Amino acid sequence: MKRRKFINKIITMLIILLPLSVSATELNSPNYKIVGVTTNTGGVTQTIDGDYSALLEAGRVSNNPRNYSSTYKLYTSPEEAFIASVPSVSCFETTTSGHSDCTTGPEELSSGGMVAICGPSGCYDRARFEIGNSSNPADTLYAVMISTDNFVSDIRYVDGNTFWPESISTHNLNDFHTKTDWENPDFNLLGLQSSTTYYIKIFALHGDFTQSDAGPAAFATTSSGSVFFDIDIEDSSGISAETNPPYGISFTGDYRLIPGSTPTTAEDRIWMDARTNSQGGFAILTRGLNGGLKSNTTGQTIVSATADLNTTPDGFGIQSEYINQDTYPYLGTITAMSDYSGTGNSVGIVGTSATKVYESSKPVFNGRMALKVIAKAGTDKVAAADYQESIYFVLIPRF
Amino acid sequence: MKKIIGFLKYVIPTTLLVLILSFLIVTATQAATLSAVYVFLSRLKINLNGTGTQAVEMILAIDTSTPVASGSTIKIEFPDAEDTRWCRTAGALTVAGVASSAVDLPASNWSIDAALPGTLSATCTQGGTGTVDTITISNVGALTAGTTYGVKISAGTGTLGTDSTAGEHVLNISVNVGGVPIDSKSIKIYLVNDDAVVVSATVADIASVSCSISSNSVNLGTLYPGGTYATGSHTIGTSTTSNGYYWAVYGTGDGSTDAGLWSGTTLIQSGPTATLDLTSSTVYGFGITLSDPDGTDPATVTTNFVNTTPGIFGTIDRLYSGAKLVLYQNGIQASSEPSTVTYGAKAQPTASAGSYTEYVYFICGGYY
Repeated sequence: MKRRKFINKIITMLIILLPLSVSATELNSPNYKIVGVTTNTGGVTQTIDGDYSALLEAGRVSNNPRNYSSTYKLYTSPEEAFIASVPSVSCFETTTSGHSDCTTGPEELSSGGMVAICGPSGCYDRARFEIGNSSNPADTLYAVMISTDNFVSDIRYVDGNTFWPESISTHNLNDFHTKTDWENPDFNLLGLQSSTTYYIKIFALHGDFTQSDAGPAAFATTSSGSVFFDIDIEDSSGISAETNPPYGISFTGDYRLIPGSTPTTAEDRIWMDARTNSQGGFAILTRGLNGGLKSNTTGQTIVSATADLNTTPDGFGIQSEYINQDTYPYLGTITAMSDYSGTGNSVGIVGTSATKVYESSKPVFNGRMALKVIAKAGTDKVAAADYQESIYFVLIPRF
Repeated sequence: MKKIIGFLKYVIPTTLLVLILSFLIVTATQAATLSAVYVFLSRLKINLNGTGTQAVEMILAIDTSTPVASGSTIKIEFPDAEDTRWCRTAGALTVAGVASSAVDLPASNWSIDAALPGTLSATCTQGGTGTVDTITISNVGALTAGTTYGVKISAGTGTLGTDSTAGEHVLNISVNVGGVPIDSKSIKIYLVNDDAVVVSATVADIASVSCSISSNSVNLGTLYPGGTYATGSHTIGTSTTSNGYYWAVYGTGDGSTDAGLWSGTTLIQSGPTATLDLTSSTVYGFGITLSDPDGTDPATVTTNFVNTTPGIFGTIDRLYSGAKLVLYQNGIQASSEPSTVTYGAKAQPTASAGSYTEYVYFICGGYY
């Protein structure tokens, strides 16, 4: 008795739930119309019934082996003639290097792969796909489904406006674009997570109620991001020098500071390597422990400031001497901040607060920079051999 | 009434079932990616212990792609293999919103627009088995998508350090509501073996030269007109920290024509020639010689004033404009070295009796 009650209860609950599922799958209407479709060729006028014609052969030949043999064949439903052809993904790329299957993107992509337009190791938050149109006309619209688990439980679409993944609930007709419109942006998938494999499928639509089945899934894995930073100490010829810590620059011997004399440029330079695929490029900042060259013996400090040391009695700072990076027109270039890009004996501050020395607003391949260290001792500075400053450098990628 | 109760017996569980299913659908939604993130570490050196000069602080800039209601938490999670390296001491951290940072990229999402809102608090928890070092910022105010917020985190009772391995390190940044990530992004930072360049300098003394004259007057004794020449001497001494030194001399003579011994009416002149050979019976006049302070270079007595041939003296001219270089050295002279200045004079036969005087001015300087 109890069991029957329980079964009745379950049945009643299902009956209550039923309208929800019915309303979600209701597709038909007694008043619908099909507009704007293109039929396949091959339709013939059927006259054996005398009074009317029908598109009996408008459908495609069935691919189902049960429906054809060497002596007969069956056509699919005429409705199939209105369904757009199933599109394919002709390329879906994130980290290709040196080559690309994509053909309608920027030239750098075709020749260098995604690393040429995203930076070292490729793209960590974006991708490019292109559509195989399967002979659909040019005005066919396409929508893109995206997933991180090959559509097992994560099923989303690509927003046609932002190109970010969106939930099924916000997917609408605005997410359908022509092949040209989808492929016009260099990156047509944005807002992706790094180190993640994404699967995409594409649907075609050419008129109301003509959406095709999803094409075969393609997948690509995003980069985990990339950043590199290194310091080297070498003279002005050290473009390719690699040195190990500890790093030191000295004003001694012939480079000693003589109070009241002209500014002295240290023989060695501070060289730095930088590369990253962070879309916001990077910033290199500096700060000093003392805010200048400080002597514990004399208690005096040759204070660092942004200044032209030719016209100041005393000072200390750094000046950019060399900047270079691999040439990728699509990527970024490194620039020195104005305080550090002077000439002659104009220097930028190494203060106790961090200041930006170099910057790139985009990813950079194999950046190389060099800084001069210039100092001038005023006549008030007492002789000592222990004037010193520790200059810290940090590279911050902007992801 | 019985019918209503019976009806509710079915409706209520069904409603609950729908709600549970709805919740599962929501929680299955994938977290979106953060639009922009950077983590500005104050130091990139490996293995900083978080105390004293090894203290580490950071500024987080974060822009969500999704609006987030007040009450969320922001987490910064470090790699599992680096437990206890980043969170050196577990505990509360000092946290405060910041409206800008030196890393900001103008006119971009990577430029802080506003301080992170909320009554912020932060903790640092150490990872263990199955957990990771995590910085959690709590009580975050409402966040607007497209606005980049800044927050600075530094040591409190908890301390921040760095991992012991140079290279890339993955940080996962997430904004969470009810423990569920709304937006997240994994980024990389790079640690180096050493992030400092030590600049050392020697400040030398201001270059100087020290000059001395042993006597300000020399008596040549009595000169007899047409007689032999007489001499007198004193020394000069020089030391310098500059690159060298020099001595130059000039006289005053009669005040108009030439240097030399002047009585007020008669001039025993130094003469127009470069040197005077006072051993010659027909040569009269006034001149000087200097001894070489070191016998060899670098100190050098100029050619006309060397004392190597007795009786031959170099002549001097009048006034500063007539000053002649008599001694110089190219190089530092740490200790004073002397040179003997010898004056030689011989009166012409027509010289009248009287007291003769010449003021010889010495100029000493350094090469810097």
